[in-house]
Amino acid sequence: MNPTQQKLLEVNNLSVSFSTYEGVVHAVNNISFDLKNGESIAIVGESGCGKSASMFAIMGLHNRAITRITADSILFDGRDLRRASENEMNNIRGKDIAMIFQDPMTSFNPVLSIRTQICEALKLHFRMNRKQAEERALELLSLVGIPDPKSRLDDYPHQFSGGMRQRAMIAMALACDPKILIADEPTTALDVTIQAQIMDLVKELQQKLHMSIIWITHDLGVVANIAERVNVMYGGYIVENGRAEDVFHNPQHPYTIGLLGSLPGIKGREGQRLYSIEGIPPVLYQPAAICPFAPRCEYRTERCLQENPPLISRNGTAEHHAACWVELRQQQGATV
Amino acid sequence: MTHATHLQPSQDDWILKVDNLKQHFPIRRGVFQRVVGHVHAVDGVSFSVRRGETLGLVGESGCGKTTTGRSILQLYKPTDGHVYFNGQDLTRLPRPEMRKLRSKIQMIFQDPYSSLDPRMTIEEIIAEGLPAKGYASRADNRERVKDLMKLVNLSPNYIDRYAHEFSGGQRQRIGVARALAVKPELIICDEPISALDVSVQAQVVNLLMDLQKDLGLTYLFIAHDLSMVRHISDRVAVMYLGLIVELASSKVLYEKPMHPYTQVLMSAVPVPDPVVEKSRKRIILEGDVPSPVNQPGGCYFHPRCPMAKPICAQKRPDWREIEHDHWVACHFA
Repeated sequence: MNPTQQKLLEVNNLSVSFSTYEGVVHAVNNISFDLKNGESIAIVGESGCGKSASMFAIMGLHNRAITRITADSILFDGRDLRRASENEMNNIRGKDIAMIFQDPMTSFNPVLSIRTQICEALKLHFRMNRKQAEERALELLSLVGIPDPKSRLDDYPHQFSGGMRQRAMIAMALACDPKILIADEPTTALDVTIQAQIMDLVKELQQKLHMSIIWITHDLGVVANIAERVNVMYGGYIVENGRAEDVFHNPQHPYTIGLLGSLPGIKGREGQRLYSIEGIPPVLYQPAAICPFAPRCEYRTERCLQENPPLISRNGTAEHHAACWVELRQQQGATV
Repeated sequence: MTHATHLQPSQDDWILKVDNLKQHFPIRRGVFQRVVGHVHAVDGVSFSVRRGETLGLVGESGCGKTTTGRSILQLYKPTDGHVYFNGQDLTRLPRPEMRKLRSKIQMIFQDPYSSLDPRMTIEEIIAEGLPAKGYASRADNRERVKDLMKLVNLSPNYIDRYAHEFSGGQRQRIGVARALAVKPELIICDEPISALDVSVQAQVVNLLMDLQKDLGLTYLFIAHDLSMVRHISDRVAVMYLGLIVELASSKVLYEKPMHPYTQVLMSAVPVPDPVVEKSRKRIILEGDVPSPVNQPGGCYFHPRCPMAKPICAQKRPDWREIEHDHWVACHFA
C-alpha cells in the first residue's frame, strides 16, 4: 500500500439514530474511517451493529422523516456530502458511488427487463441514446461474465440464477464507472462455490477499473480474502480497526477475539468446544455510557463499567486501534 | 435427565440405514394438471448412521439435503428405496405405527422465527408432544418443561412467555427443547444455525454437542457451512444434485477429498486468515448447478468438472467404498 495514496472518502464522527415506537435507537455512534484510492476495506459485524446503516447514511438513502444523521464531515473527493443538495447527491449516487446489495432478487425491479434497468442509469447519468446505452449494457454484461449477453438482455430478473443475478447487479453498479463500490453482503445469499466466483470477479474488476471498495459483511473468511484494512463494529461503534493481518493475527478487542475464536477453523480442533461469547448484541436506546461490550466481556474491569473507551492505538502503530481499556497481549483464540 | 453414558459410536450399531432413497416431485401443468416432468430432488442416496455419532450432510442449495431429511421422517412418501430405523423399514410402516415412532426421530428447523407458533406460550410449544408419551397431568408436564428449559440453558422463569420475546439463539434453544421433550434417539438438524449471528452460532453448536454427550443422541446434521459441519460431525456426506458424491470421516474428507466436487467445495470456503488467503490457490467452478428436472447424462457433475473425461458423460459412476468408511462416486477416485 502506498502511504501517499490520496484519501477518496473520509468519514468523521458519523452518528445515525432512528426514531422507533420503542424510542430512539442509536444505530451508529461517532464512527470515523477513510478509504484510499484503489483500496478495499471491510466493515465487519453482526446483524444490527450499524454497518449497513452507516453506508446508507453516506449514500443518503435513509428515510429522512425518522432518521437523524450527524457528522463532523463526510468528505468524498474533497467535497462534503453533508452539504450536497438532493440534486448533487443524485449525480453522485450510482455514478461516483455505487452499491450492490445482499439479495439480488429484491434489489431488482421484477417487472422490468435487465436491459431497461441497466440502461436507465446510463441514459440518466451520461445522456446516452438507446443504441449507445444498449451497446454499453452488452459490454458490461460480458465484463461480469454473463454468457451470451445478447440473448439475456431482454430477460427478467427471475429468469436468472442467484449467481447470475448478482453478476447482473454488479454490471448495473459498474455502469457509470464508479470510483467507490459499496458491497453490502453481496455473497451472503449465495452458495460457497458461487460466492467464490463473485469474490474473484469483484477483485478482478477492481484491478481492471481501479475502484475502491467497501465490503460490508459478517463473514470473517470473506474479509480475510478481500480486505486490506478492517473495521470491526459492535453496537454501533467501531471497536477495532487496522490492517487485516494485524486484526486477524493479533486481535486487540475482546469482541474480535471472541468472533475469531467462535469460528471452527479449517484445520484441527474438531470435537472441541467452540469459544462462545455469552449473551446477545445490544440495542442501544442511548449512546453507551460504558463499554457496549462490557456485559458480555470476560476481560471486564471496573473502568469498563464507568467509561466507554475510545479507539486507542495498539502495538505502537498508527494503524491498529482498539476501543478497550484492557491491554491484551498476544491472545489465545487469536490463532485460527 | 441423566442417562449420562457417553456412547462412543460403535462400529456396527446402525441406528439409521438409508437404501437407494429416491424422492421425485411431479411437475403439473395445464387445465388437467397433467404431469409434464419430475423434479429429481433426491435421486438414489444410500448411507447409514451409527448410534451416537453425528453425520453431516452438506451441499449447496437445491442439492436435496433437506428433502433427504424429510423423506427419512416420512414427511414425504419416498418414490423409491428404503429407510431402516433400528432395523424397521419406515417406508412400509402403517401410519399409526409411524406416528408412534416419530417421537424417536425429531427435527430441528432452520428458521427459528417461522418454526415456532407465535400464539403459543413456551410451555405449550415444548409440551405439545408430551401427552403422546403418556405424561398425564398438567403439573407433571410443567415440571418436565422446566427441566427441559434448564437442559438447554434457558431460564424456567420464561415458561409463560411467547416466542417473539426471544432472540434468535434463544428461539433455537426452544426448538431444541421441543425436540428433546419426547426423548428422541435421532435428531435431524436442518441448518439449525445458518439463520443465527456468528457469535450465537457457537453457543448453539456447543449446546448440541453437550446434549449429545449427556443424552447419547444421534444427529443427522444438515448444513451448507462446511467448516461448522466438519467441527460437529464424525462423518460427512457431500451431496450434489440429488446424489451423495462422497462420504468419509470428517478428518479424511477434509484432508484427502477424492471427489472433484468435494475438492472444489473445500477450496471455495474462505479461510479467516489474510495471509493464508493470499497464498491459497482456489479452484473456481464454472457455471451453475444444473436443473434437477433434466439432469446431465453420465456423472451429474461432469459438465462443471475440471477433470471430466469422455467416460464421465456416458456412464454414471458407481457408489463404491475405496477405503474403509470412505465412499466415492467418481470414475477416477
